[in-house]
Amino acid sequence: MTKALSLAVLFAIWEVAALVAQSRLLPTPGTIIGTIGLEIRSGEMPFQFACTLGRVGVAFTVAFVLGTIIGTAMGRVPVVDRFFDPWVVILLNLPALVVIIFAYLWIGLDETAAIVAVVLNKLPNVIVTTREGARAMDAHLAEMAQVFRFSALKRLRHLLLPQLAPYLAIAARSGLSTVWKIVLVVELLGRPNGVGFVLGTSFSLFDVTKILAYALMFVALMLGVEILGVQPFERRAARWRPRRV
Amino acid sequence: MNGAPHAGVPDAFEITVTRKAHVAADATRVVVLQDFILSLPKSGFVALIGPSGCGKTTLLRIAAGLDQSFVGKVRNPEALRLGVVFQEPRLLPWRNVAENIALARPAAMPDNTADLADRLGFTSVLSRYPSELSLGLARRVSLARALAIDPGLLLLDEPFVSLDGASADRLREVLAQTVGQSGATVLMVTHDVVEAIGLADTLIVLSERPARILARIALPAPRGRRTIEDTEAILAEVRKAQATAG
Repeated sequence: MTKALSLAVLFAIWEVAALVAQSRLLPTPGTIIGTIGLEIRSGEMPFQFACTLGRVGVAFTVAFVLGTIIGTAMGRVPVVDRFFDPWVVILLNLPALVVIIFAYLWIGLDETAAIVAVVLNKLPNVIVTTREGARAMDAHLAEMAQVFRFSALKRLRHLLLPQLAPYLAIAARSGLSTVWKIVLVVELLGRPNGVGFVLGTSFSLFDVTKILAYALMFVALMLGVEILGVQPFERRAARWRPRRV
Repeated sequence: MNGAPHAGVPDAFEITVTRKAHVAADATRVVVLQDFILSLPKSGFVALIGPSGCGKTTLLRIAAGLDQSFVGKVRNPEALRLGVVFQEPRLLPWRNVAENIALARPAAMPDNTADLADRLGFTSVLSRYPSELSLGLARRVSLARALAIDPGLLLLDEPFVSLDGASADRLREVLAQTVGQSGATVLMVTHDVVEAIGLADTLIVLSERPARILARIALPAPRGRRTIEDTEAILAEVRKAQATAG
């Protein structure tokens, strides 16, 4: 309720400011909603969003799966951790832009380069988070599983993944928002379609209305993924925990 | 071996520890076990009693294959299936009680969860998660999990500690009944001498660290039916063994 009110106040301030300013650089919310409607009907906006969403989906999945495997290995095996730790630190601190530029330079201006650039930017975060989870595993339960001869599959499903789940949820949530943002930059720099590309062209044309229309849709979509995707997963993963009273 | 009074009964399991040492927090080496041999007669119920910190739990961990860093060997010639009841229940918190028991059981074995839950008195919580159980209930589930796999060798580490008298008695009864029927070989660690006398047919009294066997006392059959006089006499024998060591 408070949140709805807060959003309404924000839009009201915006409306008033736009009416006072009377400038091309600050369109009213109404104008933007009109533009969104137009873009959706022409099929332009759905197409551009589909391009971006596809890249987000592929890059996120690859980074998540690779990061979980590498992070678990690093958390469980000290030698692996010591060997790969410097690589992770370097990747963590390499600016996203540098990775993107080199991906395009070395691989070429294509889809592979775009995905590789996003994955390399996201991977170290997933690794670091999963590693914490793998380190925090319960040795007592591992011994129990050993004594009762749990198969590898049983260990994975009933011992490893439930303990990693909260960390995977953190990685997924922070991961999704990072991947979104980086995909836009990748599209801006070297792709002929996608939301990032549209934002780039609109910027050179000073089309503020279009920029805001795409940005707002973007935020709305992100909220949808968070509410419908990430939060239900977190609730499911935490259902065995004692309820706080 | 050790003057064992079970001549004729073949040994089902034997632990030989030439040397087992821990590195303590201050980097000194503490010898926990040295030149120690423990043999378990087939279908026997052996109780280990001794002062805390004498190496009982270490011995159990070695028997369970959880501690490999010792000089010596563990012989399990018939490859008996191992069931363990740890000091803490060690249930998977994210699986409910029924799942916890089912997960330990090999796929080929029949589902005996309902029967065990009934006998141990936790049928009403089968679909609860471990965080919702009292420690007493969690211990019952942990015992049921070990019994559910029909173990050939059952290792118990203080399984009834911190339970109220009545529930501990019930659990002891179910344990005695089950291993009596299945003919499992049992090794139990406890510091409760009376409990040991009630359940076991062989009592092994250990010394302070490094643990030595002070006495191996054969208890009169049948197990679980000792009179007060029997118990008193055995208690006196245990005390005597401990006193001669001191």
